[in-house]
Amino acid sequence: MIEGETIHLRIIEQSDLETIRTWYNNPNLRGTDGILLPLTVPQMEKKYKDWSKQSHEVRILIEKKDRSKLLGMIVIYTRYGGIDLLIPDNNEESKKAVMETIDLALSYLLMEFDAKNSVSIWIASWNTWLIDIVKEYGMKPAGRERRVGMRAGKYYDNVVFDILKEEYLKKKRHK
Amino acid sequence: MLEGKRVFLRAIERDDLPKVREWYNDYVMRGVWTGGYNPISAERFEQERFMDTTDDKKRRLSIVLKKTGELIGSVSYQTGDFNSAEIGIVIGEKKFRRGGYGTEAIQLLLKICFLEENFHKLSLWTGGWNISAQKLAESLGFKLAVRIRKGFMRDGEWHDALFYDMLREEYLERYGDD
Repeated sequence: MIEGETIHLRIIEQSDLETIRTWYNNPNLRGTDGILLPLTVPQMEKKYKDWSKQSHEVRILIEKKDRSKLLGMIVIYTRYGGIDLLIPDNNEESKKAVMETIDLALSYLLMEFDAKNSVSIWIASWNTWLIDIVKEYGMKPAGRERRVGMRAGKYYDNVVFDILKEEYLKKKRHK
Repeated sequence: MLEGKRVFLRAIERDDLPKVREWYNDYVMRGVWTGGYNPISAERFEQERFMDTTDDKKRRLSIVLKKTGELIGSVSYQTGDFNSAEIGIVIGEKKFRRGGYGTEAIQLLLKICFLEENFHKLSLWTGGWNISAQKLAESLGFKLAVRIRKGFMRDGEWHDALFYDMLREEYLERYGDD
Protein backbone atom coordinates (compact mmCIF):
# COMPACT_ATOMS: atom_id res chain seq x y z
CA MET A 1 0.00 0.00 0.00
CA ILE A 2 1.23 3.48 -0.89
CA GLU A 3 -0.04 6.12 1.53
CA GLY A 4 -0.93 9.67 0.54
CA GLU A 5 -2.56 12.45 2.53
CA THR A 6 -6.20 11.79 1.68
CA ILE A 7 -5.96 8.63 -0.42
CA HIS A 8 -3.99 5.43 -0.56
CA LEU A 9 -3.07 3.21 -3.47
CA ARG A 10 -3.76 -0.46 -2.84
CA ILE A 11 -3.76 -3.72 -4.76
CA ILE A 12 -6.91 -4.99 -6.45
CA GLU A 13 -8.81 -7.73 -4.63
CA GLN A 14 -11.30 -10.15 -6.17
CA SER A 15 -14.08 -8.30 -4.35
CA ASP A 16 -13.22 -5.06 -6.26
CA LEU A 17 -13.83 -6.54 -9.69
CA GLU A 18 -17.52 -5.67 -9.92
CA THR A 19 -16.77 -1.99 -9.21
CA ILE A 20 -14.02 -1.93 -11.84
CA ARG A 21 -16.37 -3.64 -14.30
CA THR A 22 -18.94 -0.88 -13.83
CA TRP A 23 -16.24 1.69 -14.65
CA TYR A 24 -15.24 -0.12 -17.85
CA ASN A 25 -18.90 -0.51 -18.81
CA ASN A 26 -19.65 3.17 -18.32
CA PRO A 27 -20.33 4.49 -21.87
CA ASN A 28 -18.59 7.78 -21.04
CA LEU A 29 -15.33 5.91 -20.44
CA ARG A 30 -15.57 3.65 -23.50
CA GLY A 31 -12.18 3.06 -25.08
CA THR A 32 -10.25 3.44 -21.81
CA ASP A 33 -7.65 0.69 -21.46
CA GLY A 34 -8.56 -0.45 -24.99
CA ILE A 35 -11.96 -1.74 -23.90
CA LEU A 36 -14.63 -0.93 -26.49
CA LEU A 37 -17.48 -3.27 -25.56
CA PRO A 38 -19.09 -3.93 -22.16
CA LEU A 39 -17.36 -6.67 -20.17
CA THR A 40 -19.13 -9.73 -18.77
CA VAL A 41 -18.23 -11.07 -15.31
CA PRO A 42 -16.10 -13.94 -16.74
CA GLN A 43 -14.31 -11.47 -19.06
CA MET A 44 -13.56 -9.22 -16.10
CA GLU A 45 -12.24 -12.19 -14.11
CA LYS A 46 -10.03 -13.25 -17.02
CA LYS A 47 -8.63 -9.72 -17.22
CA TYR A 48 -7.86 -9.84 -13.51
CA LYS A 49 -5.96 -13.11 -13.95
CA ASP A 50 -4.07 -11.72 -16.96
CA TRP A 51 -3.11 -8.59 -14.98
CA SER A 52 -1.47 -10.71 -12.30
CA LYS A 53 0.83 -12.26 -14.94
CA GLN A 54 2.17 -8.87 -16.08
CA SER A 55 5.57 -8.25 -14.55
CA HIS A 56 6.12 -4.71 -15.88
CA GLU A 57 2.57 -3.41 -15.51
CA VAL A 58 0.97 -2.86 -12.12
CA ARG A 59 -2.69 -1.92 -11.64
CA ILE A 60 -3.52 -0.22 -8.37
CA LEU A 61 -6.76 1.12 -6.95
CA ILE A 62 -7.12 4.67 -5.71
CA GLU A 63 -9.14 4.62 -2.49
CA LYS A 64 -10.12 7.27 0.05
CA LYS A 65 -8.00 6.83 3.15
CA ASP A 66 -11.02 6.06 5.30
CA ARG A 67 -11.85 3.25 2.80
CA SER A 68 -15.28 4.74 2.16
CA LYS A 69 -14.95 5.02 -1.62
CA LEU A 70 -12.95 3.78 -4.59
CA LEU A 71 -12.02 6.76 -6.76
CA GLY A 72 -10.35 5.06 -9.71
CA MET A 73 -7.41 3.00 -10.88
CA ILE A 74 -3.85 3.77 -11.93
CA VAL A 75 -1.68 1.60 -14.16
CA ILE A 76 2.05 1.95 -13.55
CA TYR A 77 4.36 0.74 -16.31
CA THR A 78 7.64 0.09 -14.58
CA ARG A 79 9.58 -0.85 -17.70
CA TYR A 80 9.18 2.36 -19.67
CA GLY A 81 8.13 4.70 -16.88
CA GLY A 82 4.52 5.41 -17.79
CA ILE A 83 1.18 5.81 -16.05
CA ASP A 84 -2.46 5.51 -17.12
CA LEU A 85 -5.51 6.63 -15.15
CA LEU A 86 -9.09 5.40 -15.10
CA ILE A 87 -11.24 7.85 -13.15
CA PRO A 88 -15.02 7.32 -13.24
CA ASP A 89 -16.21 10.63 -11.75
CA ASN A 90 -15.11 14.04 -13.04
CA ASN A 91 -15.59 16.07 -9.88
CA GLU A 92 -13.50 18.07 -7.42
CA GLU A 93 -12.94 15.10 -5.10
CA SER A 94 -11.61 13.04 -8.02
CA LYS A 95 -9.43 15.91 -9.20
CA LYS A 96 -7.69 16.13 -5.80
CA ALA A 97 -7.28 12.35 -5.80
CA VAL A 98 -5.73 12.42 -9.29
CA MET A 99 -3.24 15.13 -8.28
CA GLU A 100 -2.22 13.11 -5.24
CA THR A 101 -2.10 9.85 -7.21
CA ILE A 102 0.20 11.33 -9.86
CA ASP A 103 2.45 12.62 -7.09
CA LEU A 104 2.61 9.18 -5.44
CA ALA A 105 3.18 7.38 -8.75
CA LEU A 106 6.01 9.74 -9.73
CA SER A 107 7.58 9.33 -6.33
CA TYR A 108 7.40 5.55 -6.75
CA LEU A 109 8.78 5.51 -10.31
CA LEU A 110 11.42 8.23 -9.95
CA MET A 111 12.48 7.96 -6.30
CA GLU A 112 12.04 4.29 -5.44
CA PHE A 113 12.85 2.64 -8.75
CA ASP A 114 15.54 5.18 -9.63
CA ALA A 115 15.92 3.51 -13.02
CA LYS A 116 13.84 6.13 -14.79
CA ASN A 117 14.52 9.74 -15.54
CA SER A 118 11.11 10.66 -16.90
CA VAL A 119 7.51 9.49 -16.69
CA SER A 120 4.87 9.81 -19.41
CA ILE A 121 1.09 9.60 -19.56
CA TRP A 122 -1.04 8.97 -22.67
CA ILE A 123 -4.61 10.35 -22.47
CA ALA A 124 -7.47 10.08 -24.97
CA SER A 125 -8.05 13.52 -26.51
CA TRP A 126 -11.76 13.45 -25.54
CA ASN A 127 -10.77 13.29 -21.87
CA THR A 128 -10.17 17.04 -21.54
CA TRP A 129 -10.95 16.88 -17.82
CA LEU A 130 -7.91 14.67 -17.17
CA ILE A 131 -5.73 16.53 -19.69
CA ASP A 132 -6.34 19.79 -17.80
CA ILE A 133 -5.40 18.18 -14.47
CA VAL A 134 -2.18 16.73 -15.87
CA LYS A 135 -1.26 20.16 -17.30
CA GLU A 136 -2.06 21.79 -13.98
CA TYR A 137 0.15 19.25 -12.24
CA GLY A 138 3.03 20.44 -14.42
CA MET A 139 3.57 17.67 -16.94
CA LYS A 140 4.75 18.93 -20.35
CA PRO A 141 3.28 18.13 -23.81
CA ALA A 142 5.31 15.40 -25.54
CA GLY A 143 3.25 14.81 -28.68
CA ARG A 144 0.14 13.23 -30.05
CA GLU A 145 -0.48 9.66 -31.18
CA ARG A 146 -3.00 9.88 -34.00
CA ARG A 147 -6.25 7.96 -34.34
CA VAL A 148 -6.18 5.61 -31.38
CA GLY A 149 -9.94 5.13 -31.36
CA MET A 150 -13.28 6.34 -32.63
CA ARG A 151 -16.28 8.00 -30.96
CA ALA A 152 -19.52 8.87 -32.72
CA GLY A 153 -17.89 8.35 -36.10
CA LYS A 154 -14.88 10.56 -35.41
CA TYR A 155 -11.32 9.50 -34.69
CA TYR A 156 -9.67 10.64 -31.49
CA ASP A 157 -5.96 10.83 -30.58
CA ASN A 158 -3.85 10.17 -27.53
CA VAL A 159 -2.36 13.33 -26.11
CA VAL A 160 0.99 12.61 -24.46
CA PHE A 161 2.67 14.40 -21.56
CA ASP A 162 5.92 13.76 -19.74
CA ILE A 163 7.83 15.03 -16.72
CA LEU A 164 11.55 14.78 -16.00
CA LYS A 165 12.92 13.69 -12.65
CA GLU A 166 14.58 17.12 -12.22
CA GLU A 167 11.22 18.86 -12.87
CA TYR A 168 9.53 16.60 -10.32
CA LEU A 169 12.23 17.33 -7.71
CA LYS A 170 12.03 21.07 -8.37
CA LYS A 171 8.25 20.89 -7.88
CA LYS A 172 8.78 19.04 -4.60
CA ARG A 173 11.26 21.62 -3.33
CA HIS A 174 8.82 24.45 -4.13
CA LYS A 175 6.12 22.63 -2.19
CA MET B 1 6.76 -15.57 -48.71
CA LEU B 2 6.87 -11.97 -49.93
CA GLU B 3 9.61 -11.00 -52.38
CA GLY B 4 11.32 -7.69 -52.96
CA LYS B 5 14.18 -6.90 -55.33
CA ARG B 6 17.00 -8.19 -53.15
CA VAL B 7 15.33 -9.74 -50.10
CA PHE B 8 12.29 -11.78 -49.23
CA LEU B 9 10.36 -12.25 -45.99
CA ARG B 10 9.51 -15.72 -44.76
CA ALA B 11 8.46 -17.47 -41.56
CA ILE B 12 11.11 -17.87 -38.87
CA GLU B 13 12.39 -21.45 -38.89
CA ARG B 14 14.01 -23.27 -35.97
CA ASP B 15 17.33 -23.26 -37.86
CA ASP B 16 17.29 -19.42 -37.79
CA LEU B 17 17.29 -19.28 -33.99
CA PRO B 18 21.03 -19.56 -33.18
CA LYS B 19 21.84 -16.68 -35.51
CA VAL B 20 18.99 -14.47 -34.33
CA ARG B 21 20.00 -15.15 -30.71
CA GLU B 22 23.57 -14.19 -31.56
CA TRP B 23 22.31 -10.78 -32.79
CA TYR B 24 20.04 -10.45 -29.78
CA ASN B 25 22.93 -11.09 -27.40
CA ASP B 26 25.34 -8.76 -29.22
CA TYR B 27 26.12 -5.88 -26.82
CA VAL B 28 26.24 -3.40 -29.72
CA MET B 29 22.62 -4.26 -30.54
CA ARG B 30 21.36 -3.59 -27.00
CA GLY B 31 18.27 -1.46 -26.83
CA VAL B 32 17.12 -2.42 -30.32
CA TRP B 33 14.93 -5.22 -28.98
CA THR B 34 14.21 -4.53 -25.36
CA GLY B 35 15.50 -1.13 -24.34
CA GLY B 36 18.42 -2.62 -22.45
CA TYR B 37 21.02 -5.38 -22.48
CA ASN B 38 19.34 -8.67 -21.65
CA PRO B 39 21.37 -11.62 -22.96
CA ILE B 40 19.19 -14.67 -23.25
CA SER B 41 19.80 -18.44 -23.06
CA ALA B 42 19.03 -20.70 -26.02
CA GLU B 43 16.23 -22.43 -24.14
CA ARG B 44 14.53 -19.20 -23.08
CA PHE B 45 15.04 -17.69 -26.50
CA GLU B 46 13.22 -20.60 -28.10
CA GLN B 47 10.36 -20.29 -25.62
CA GLU B 48 9.99 -16.53 -25.83
CA ARG B 49 11.02 -15.65 -29.35
CA PHE B 50 10.03 -18.70 -31.35
CA MET B 51 7.07 -20.23 -29.60
CA ASP B 52 5.40 -16.82 -29.32
CA THR B 53 4.93 -17.01 -33.10
CA THR B 54 1.80 -19.01 -32.21
CA ASP B 55 0.41 -15.81 -30.67
CA ASP B 56 -2.12 -14.34 -33.10
CA LYS B 57 -1.16 -10.80 -32.10
CA LYS B 58 2.55 -11.19 -32.87
CA ARG B 59 4.21 -11.94 -36.17
CA ARG B 60 7.92 -12.32 -36.72
CA LEU B 61 9.40 -12.84 -40.17
CA SER B 62 12.95 -13.52 -41.28
CA ILE B 63 14.65 -11.26 -43.83
CA VAL B 64 16.53 -13.41 -46.31
CA LEU B 65 18.85 -12.40 -49.14
CA LYS B 66 17.41 -13.63 -52.44
CA LYS B 67 20.77 -14.16 -54.10
CA THR B 68 22.36 -16.41 -51.46
CA GLY B 69 19.53 -17.45 -49.14
CA GLU B 70 21.43 -15.87 -46.25
CA LEU B 71 19.46 -14.80 -43.18
CA ILE B 72 20.28 -11.12 -42.55
CA GLY B 73 17.64 -9.88 -40.13
CA SER B 74 14.06 -9.98 -38.95
CA VAL B 75 10.94 -7.86 -38.94
CA SER B 76 7.96 -8.05 -36.64
CA TYR B 77 4.57 -6.57 -36.01
CA GLN B 78 2.27 -6.78 -33.05
CA THR B 79 -1.42 -5.99 -33.29
CA GLY B 80 -2.52 -3.28 -30.88
CA ASP B 81 -5.83 -1.64 -30.07
CA PHE B 82 -8.19 -0.32 -32.71
CA ASN B 83 -6.80 -2.13 -35.76
CA SER B 84 -3.28 -0.78 -35.44
CA ALA B 85 0.10 -2.47 -35.09
CA GLU B 86 3.58 -1.70 -33.86
CA ILE B 87 6.44 -2.78 -36.08
CA GLY B 88 10.11 -3.52 -35.52
CA ILE B 89 13.16 -4.40 -37.58
CA VAL B 90 16.67 -5.67 -36.98
CA ILE B 91 19.37 -6.07 -39.63
CA GLY B 92 21.53 -8.42 -37.61
CA GLU B 93 24.32 -9.02 -40.08
CA LYS B 94 26.63 -6.01 -39.80
CA LYS B 95 27.83 -6.08 -43.42
CA PHE B 96 24.25 -5.60 -44.62
CA ARG B 97 23.51 -2.52 -42.53
CA ARG B 98 23.21 0.82 -44.36
CA GLY B 99 22.83 -1.02 -47.65
CA GLY B 100 19.14 -0.29 -48.15
CA TYR B 101 18.08 -3.80 -47.10
CA GLY B 102 16.18 -2.48 -44.09
CA THR B 103 14.26 -0.05 -46.29
CA GLU B 104 13.31 -2.85 -48.65
CA ALA B 105 12.29 -5.20 -45.82
CA ILE B 106 10.11 -2.56 -44.16
CA GLN B 107 8.48 -1.67 -47.47
CA LEU B 108 7.50 -5.34 -47.77
CA LEU B 109 6.24 -5.31 -44.20
CA LEU B 110 4.19 -2.16 -44.84
CA LYS B 111 2.61 -3.89 -47.80
CA ILE B 112 1.60 -6.87 -45.63
CA CYS B 113 0.31 -4.64 -42.84
CA PHE B 114 -1.66 -2.15 -44.91
CA LEU B 115 -2.73 -4.15 -47.96
CA GLU B 116 -3.24 -7.63 -46.46
CA GLU B 117 -3.87 -7.13 -42.75
CA ASN B 118 -5.71 -3.87 -43.47
CA PHE B 119 -4.36 -2.03 -40.41
CA HIS B 120 -5.38 1.61 -40.33
CA LYS B 121 -2.17 2.74 -38.60
CA LEU B 122 1.37 1.49 -37.90
CA SER B 123 3.80 2.77 -35.32
CA LEU B 124 7.37 2.19 -34.19
CA TRP B 125 9.66 3.21 -31.34
CA THR B 126 13.31 4.13 -31.53
CA GLY B 127 15.89 5.83 -29.32
CA GLY B 128 17.29 9.34 -29.78
CA TRP B 129 20.78 7.89 -30.24
CA ASN B 130 19.67 5.76 -33.20
CA ILE B 131 20.00 8.30 -36.01
CA SER B 132 19.93 5.67 -38.76
CA ALA B 133 16.59 4.28 -37.49
CA GLN B 134 15.13 7.80 -37.39
CA LYS B 135 16.30 8.49 -40.95
CA LEU B 136 14.92 5.14 -42.09
CA ALA B 137 11.52 5.82 -40.50
CA GLU B 138 11.28 9.30 -41.97
CA SER B 139 12.44 8.21 -45.43
CA LEU B 140 9.70 5.57 -45.45
CA GLY B 141 7.03 8.14 -44.62
CA PHE B 142 6.62 7.70 -40.86
CA LYS B 143 5.94 10.89 -38.89
CA LEU B 144 7.39 11.71 -35.50
CA ALA B 145 4.35 11.75 -33.20
CA VAL B 146 5.75 11.68 -29.66
CA ARG B 147 9.09 12.49 -28.04
CA ILE B 148 9.42 11.33 -24.44
CA ARG B 149 12.33 13.23 -22.96
CA LYS B 150 15.13 11.15 -21.48
CA GLY B 151 13.25 7.90 -21.92
CA PHE B 152 16.22 5.59 -22.54
CA MET B 153 19.69 5.28 -21.09
CA ARG B 154 22.61 4.24 -23.25
CA ASP B 155 26.33 4.54 -22.55
CA GLY B 156 25.58 6.41 -19.34
CA GLU B 157 23.53 9.11 -21.02
CA TRP B 158 19.81 9.69 -21.22
CA HIS B 159 18.25 9.83 -24.67
CA ASP B 160 14.74 10.69 -25.82
CA ALA B 161 12.31 7.91 -26.74
CA LEU B 162 10.80 8.59 -30.15
CA PHE B 163 7.46 7.28 -31.35
CA TYR B 164 6.61 7.41 -35.06
CA ASP B 165 3.35 6.58 -36.80
CA MET B 166 1.93 6.26 -40.31
CA LEU B 167 -1.73 6.21 -41.30
CA ARG B 168 -3.09 3.89 -43.95
CA GLU B 169 -4.11 6.82 -46.16
CA GLU B 170 -0.56 8.22 -45.96
CA TYR B 171 0.75 4.83 -47.07
CA LEU B 172 -1.68 4.68 -50.01
CA GLU B 173 -0.82 8.20 -51.07
CA ARG B 174 2.90 7.39 -51.06
CA TYR B 175 3.01 3.79 -52.30
CA GLY B 176 -0.37 3.18 -53.94
CA ASP B 177 -2.37 -0.01 -53.51
CA ASP B 178 -0.35 -2.33 -55.73
